[in-house]
Amino acid sequence: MASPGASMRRSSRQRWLTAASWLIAAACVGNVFPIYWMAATSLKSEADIHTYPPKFIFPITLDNYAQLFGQANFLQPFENSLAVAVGSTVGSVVLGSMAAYALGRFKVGGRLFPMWILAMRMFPPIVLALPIFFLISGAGLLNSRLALTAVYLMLNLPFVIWLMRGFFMEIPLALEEAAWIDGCSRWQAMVQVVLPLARPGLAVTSIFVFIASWNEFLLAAVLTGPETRTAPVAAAQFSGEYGILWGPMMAAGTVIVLPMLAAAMLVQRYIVRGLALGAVKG
Amino acid sequence: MNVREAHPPVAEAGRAARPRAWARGRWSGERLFPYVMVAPATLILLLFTIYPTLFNLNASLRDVTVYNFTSGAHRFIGTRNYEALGRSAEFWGATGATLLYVVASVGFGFLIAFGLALALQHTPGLRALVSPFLLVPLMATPAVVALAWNQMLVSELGVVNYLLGLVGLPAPPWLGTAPWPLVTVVLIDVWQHVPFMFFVLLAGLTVLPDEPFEAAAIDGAGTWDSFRYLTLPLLQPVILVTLIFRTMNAFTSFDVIYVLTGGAPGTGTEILNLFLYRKAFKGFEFGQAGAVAVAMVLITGLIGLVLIRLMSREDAERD
Repeated sequence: MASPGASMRRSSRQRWLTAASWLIAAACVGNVFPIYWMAATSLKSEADIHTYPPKFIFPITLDNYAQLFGQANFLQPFENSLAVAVGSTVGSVVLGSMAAYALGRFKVGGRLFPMWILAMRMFPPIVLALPIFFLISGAGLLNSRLALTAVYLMLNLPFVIWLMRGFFMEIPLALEEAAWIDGCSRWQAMVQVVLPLARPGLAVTSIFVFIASWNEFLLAAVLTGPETRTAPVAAAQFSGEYGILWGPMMAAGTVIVLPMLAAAMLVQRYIVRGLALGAVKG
Repeated sequence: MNVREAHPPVAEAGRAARPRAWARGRWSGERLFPYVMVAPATLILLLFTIYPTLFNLNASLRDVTVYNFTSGAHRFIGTRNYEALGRSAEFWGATGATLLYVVASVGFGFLIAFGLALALQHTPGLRALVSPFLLVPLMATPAVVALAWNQMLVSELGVVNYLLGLVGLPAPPWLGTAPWPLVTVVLIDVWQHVPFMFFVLLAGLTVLPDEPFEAAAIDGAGTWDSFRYLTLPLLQPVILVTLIFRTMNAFTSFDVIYVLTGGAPGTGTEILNLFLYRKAFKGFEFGQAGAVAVAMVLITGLIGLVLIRLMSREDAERD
């Protein structure tokens, strides 16, 4: 038999374990429930949505999706979101990686430049909203996808530079030096030697900025009009004459979120890595 | 993932690179190369740094509104916008709400995230099982998150209050009377950002060295002691960075509150971001909006400065 002390220690350890498992189980369920509930609501008939107590088992209908893509023409905002997110991701990853490479390898701008980039990541975008609104309207580009793409490109740049700088600095310099000795120019060495090695980093970064652009709401709400509004803005405007149209609205939310979640699950290992790097790496 | 060890070779490479790269420059083009690479990004960032700063500063010193904006008939009025702001109960209300919101959601979220990270620290299998669940709030569109929660919290029909009723808990007016809406937006922010802090803290925990913990165990230290005297001090830099990043991030909150409450009830959930939005895009008081923007840049700048100091101190220690 164990001594009383040891058994007490074991029972308190067991209590800890039970508490921890409950915490973990609650975290798992709690994290997905709102999204699950949104998707479930999007598949309910209008009558089922307005029933109390809420129904967990119900006949599935696609009426809300039919209304969303038919009457409400949600394909247009969806397409706008896609175009803006793709454009700003490509632009910011190309320009940001170029800058990141120079910062990581050649220490351009010393310590100050990286600090400026870090500071840029910190400011609330609302501070930029009014000046950018007048800048864009002065250029006659209000309500255009192009303007929103450019603004997102700018918003993404600091993050791309920050993350890619870290990835580039991990690649041994000796590899490029060998290429230089073989007669490659700086540019050739970067494109042919460094970029292939940086591919995982480029993937992580692209995923992050794509999701950030896809999810952005504030500046999209300020800078777009009826034809150019993005999917989140359109979803939030989903109310009819008699109040909120829950069915189509939940369908819109599901259409916006599910593709991103599916993509995130496929590359979750990279996302977790990117999160840790983006925040922790100095 | 090895966050710490990735650093030393990097620093060496950087130091070695400069003299060789410069000495080799046969063509002046090679010397210009790094500057050409940085130029496009720098120009874009400069445009979006300098223009908004000048715009906000200039507007904050003028009596500019939507009526005289295009005509340019606004006058220079010195610091009157700032003085008006200082007297405005709404501004101080928004500042107070912001502080409450940020402190509550960062503090509460940190406790949960740290607890989870500690619980999963030594169980890689369980961690792999839980991670995908935790990615969901993190990746979900904030505006859509607000819509989803709105559906679940609708007073008469909401599933949240139904579930609370099942276990015998009272049904609070989540989106009704003050202070509940503020509690609600804090809880949603916690829900959405616990995963971020969890992943960063976990990354920090998994790279802690084993030796001190083994030595402490041999010396008979209990779980609490080794947490208090080893985990906390060793993890301190990561904890600080996590907290400050999250704090800065909480200061930028807009979408969820805007979509869910729009600042209501009254101005009960109107944090500074929403206050500025209202001044700029609903009241069209551009001068006042400029003053708020300048104030917010100063506040975030101050916090950012602390972060930068902490991070560069860590950098210097590593070099």
